[in-house]
Amino acid sequence: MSKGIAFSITQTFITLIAIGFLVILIGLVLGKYFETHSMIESSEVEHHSILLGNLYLSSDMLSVTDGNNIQRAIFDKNKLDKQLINKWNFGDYLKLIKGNELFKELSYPASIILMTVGDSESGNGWFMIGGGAAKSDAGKNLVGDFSGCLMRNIKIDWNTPFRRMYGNIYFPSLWDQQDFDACLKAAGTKSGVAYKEFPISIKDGSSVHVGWMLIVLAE
Amino acid sequence: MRLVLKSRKGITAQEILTMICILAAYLVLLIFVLPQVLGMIFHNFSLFSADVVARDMSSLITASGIATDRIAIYYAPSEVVEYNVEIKDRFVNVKMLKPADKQGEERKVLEEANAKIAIDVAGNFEAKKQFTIDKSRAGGKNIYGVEAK
Repeated sequence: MSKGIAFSITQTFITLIAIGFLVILIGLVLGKYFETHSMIESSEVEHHSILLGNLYLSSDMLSVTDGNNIQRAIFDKNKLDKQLINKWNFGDYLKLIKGNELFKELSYPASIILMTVGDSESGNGWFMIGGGAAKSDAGKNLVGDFSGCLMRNIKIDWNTPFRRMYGNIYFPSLWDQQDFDACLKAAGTKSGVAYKEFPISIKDGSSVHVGWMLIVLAE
Repeated sequence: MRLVLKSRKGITAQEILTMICILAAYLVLLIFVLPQVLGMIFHNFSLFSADVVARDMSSLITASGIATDRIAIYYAPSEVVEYNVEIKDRFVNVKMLKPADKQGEERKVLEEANAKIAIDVAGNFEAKKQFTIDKSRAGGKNIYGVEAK
């Protein structure tokens, strides 16, 4: 009996060490797994928005071109007028229905893009909403749901010509920024929403103005 | 010195010292060595998992579009692991293959992952380790290509 007690104390001691070791081992494995996994998962939409913004800065559909050479981040005003909606040109608002070449050629599938460009010197501004045509992984049409939500939330009131949109400029807009945010959530964006602003120049004839481009990407 | 703990045989000081040494070794292993070893294993594994390779390839393909003139990007995620890669409809599909035991044996897919790209590129490669993404401009048009070996 007395020998048995001595044995069981040692056994208990070893068992406790073994359990402690196992608990710490499992904790470390799970900790490292979630750390690595979340690092990869969380940054996806942020990463995509940076890449997409940079693609637009290098695109010959927006930037000034000299033959075969592209002048990165120097946007041509005429190309902005062609691809985006000039805030003072009401005919341009049809592009919301028709779409534009830029988003068709450069966009992630199953995504919504809101792009705003501002001329800090002249106060002129352009914007466009669109997205990748493919359906999301869950088989849900993200862009279609988002457009449907926007149509249901149109606001026509005294404030319509002076609404402030993303990027802190005023656009004659049928929606508030809150409407956009609510519709992005309602469309069931999976990875989240990222906002990225880039410094640009806008060339209008011989003059070059300082400006900015804001990309809002939802996936 | 001989400690007796309700036992005729008892526990010797040598045994206590051995236990303390084992405990100390455990603690050193748990606190310093194990996290580093685990971190290294996860780091290495994460570098060539299908998920990371799909994301890396999608980022590199999209990033190639940022170049205003010509760019060639070489990407080799692993010297050992081979991948089946399919690029179409603005998605990169990567299948990580189990190393072949015999020549001509059908390769088992260990892991599969998809990632989005923002430009139109197409390609289909089987059991490849190294990839080259190439972008150039000709006649005012962007030309993209992906090669593998």
